[in-house]
Amino acid sequence: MKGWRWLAPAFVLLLVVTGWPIGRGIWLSLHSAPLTNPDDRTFVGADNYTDILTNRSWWLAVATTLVIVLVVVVLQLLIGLAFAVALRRVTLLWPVTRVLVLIPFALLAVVSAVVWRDAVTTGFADEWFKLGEVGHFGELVGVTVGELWRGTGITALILLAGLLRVRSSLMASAIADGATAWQRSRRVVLPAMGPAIAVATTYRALDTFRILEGPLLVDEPGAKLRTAPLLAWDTTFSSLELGLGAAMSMVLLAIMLLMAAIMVPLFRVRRVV
Amino acid sequence: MTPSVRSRLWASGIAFVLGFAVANYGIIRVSRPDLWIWIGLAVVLMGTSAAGILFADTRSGLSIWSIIGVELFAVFTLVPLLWTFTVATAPSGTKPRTVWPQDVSWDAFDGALHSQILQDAAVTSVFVAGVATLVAMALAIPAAYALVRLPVRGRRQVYAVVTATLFLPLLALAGPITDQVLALDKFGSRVSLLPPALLITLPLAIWLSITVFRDVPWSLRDSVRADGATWMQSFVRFALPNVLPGVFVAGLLVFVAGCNDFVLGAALSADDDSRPLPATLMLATGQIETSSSAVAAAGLLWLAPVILLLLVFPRRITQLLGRSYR
Repeated sequence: MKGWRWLAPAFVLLLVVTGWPIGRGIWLSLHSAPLTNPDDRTFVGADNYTDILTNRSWWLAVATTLVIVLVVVVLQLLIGLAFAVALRRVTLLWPVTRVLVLIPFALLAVVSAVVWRDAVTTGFADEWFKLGEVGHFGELVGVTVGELWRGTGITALILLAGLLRVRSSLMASAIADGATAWQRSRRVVLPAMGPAIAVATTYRALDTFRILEGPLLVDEPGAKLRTAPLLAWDTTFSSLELGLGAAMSMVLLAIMLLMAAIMVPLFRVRRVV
Repeated sequence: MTPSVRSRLWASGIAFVLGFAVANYGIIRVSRPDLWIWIGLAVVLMGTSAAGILFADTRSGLSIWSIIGVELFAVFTLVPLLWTFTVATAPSGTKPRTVWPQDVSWDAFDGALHSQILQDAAVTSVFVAGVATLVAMALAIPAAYALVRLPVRGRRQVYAVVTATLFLPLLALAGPITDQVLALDKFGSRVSLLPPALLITLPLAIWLSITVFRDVPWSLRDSVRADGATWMQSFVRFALPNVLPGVFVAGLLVFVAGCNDFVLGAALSADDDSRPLPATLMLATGQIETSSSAVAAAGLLWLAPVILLLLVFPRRITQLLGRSYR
């Protein structure tokens, strides 16, 4: 139990700063609570939850978010893997590329969203590919591409760290044994970098799921396509329905936990401390 | 490992086809000055193709596939960055249509540097993230040490909680936190941003510190102790050179993450005095010119210290961020 003496302060503080808002969120979600008038709070039980769970636009928003997550993560993994393979071989350029890989990730998500929206509406993407009038959907695609661009570098970095774990002696003996490229990648490379792929997939998925800046930026009144985080944000801070927003937030948390609960055992994400 | 002749010839062929396609599309559909970017890429790809054929039957370890990959990677990363710069330097009132900057005007950078609102916002961001980072690191270092080195019951559970909070959708907590701050009547003060900022910094600090401590050569400390070093000696000779640099870089990364948070700042800001920079860029409509060039210029200025950081500690940062598994 000696370890807990060192661990306790950080862990207790962590539990307090996360547990307190979650607890308050659960309590709020059981009330009808307009943000404008704190005294006007009535207990409504599970009404907020039934409202959300039977609401078609909420589930549409959740589906939109999950589609965005799926597309972004798959593309990030593929592009990131290609870049990681390339960067591993060109060691001469590593000092330069090492910096280059992380610059997009360091750019503020707001800035990336703004410039990518401009790119598809009036900027270079429109000019190069003659997109024309893209509308709200096109703008949403634009900021999603921006998010894809931001996260690809860090994905490549994690996958590269996984590639470096492939033992070169093992690779040499596989070649000596006459394994084909396909066999080598399946039997030698994949087992070694499996953990890295699992981690990259899970973390990028959870990180993309919570993104708010892009959808918030291109949101317009009457827009059909909205993401679930945006809907929760909008309900809380524009419609000022704190109770309903809190209920949405709790459903969001539940979805996030569900995603983690599916992905962690599925990909065998592990990191033994 | 030398790639085979066949693989190099295939790579050359693909590079040629790619370069050909890029050149044709550029010439047909893209107007100047961006045309030169397309043609430049085409020339580089075709040069790679020629080099691949020349080097196909040599013993050098050069991989043509990797060179194509690095070229595409450079384009993928640099073109949007150049576009950000172009947006930032566009003269006010114009919308740039090409990636290559045509009329470079530094007004937006000038405006961002002299804007009182942005300065206040930057001070708020740095203050909040700085204090939150100090608190988080002070608590995270012993915690990570305990998790890596000491027997802790429930280690996996603790680790699961830390990871879960690291990826928590913060906007789900923004509403309840705002309500709490309103109830305490602290809305719109910088101090009210501090406890929520710990939501970002604390899990990240623990997480990165664990990675740092995993790489420390602990057997060395055992030998230092076995040799009868005093506590002070083992601190100076072992901890300072082996632990401190990693912890320092981890702290800087936590600080950057804290500075770049948008959600909590946007939720908790009543007025411009207490609004951090990312939220200001998004929300302070009417206060600054919320033209894209102002946002892009502020974003690039905000990026500059981080790039400096990347240039000073490239190896440690890539290790810390890349090795966040196992």
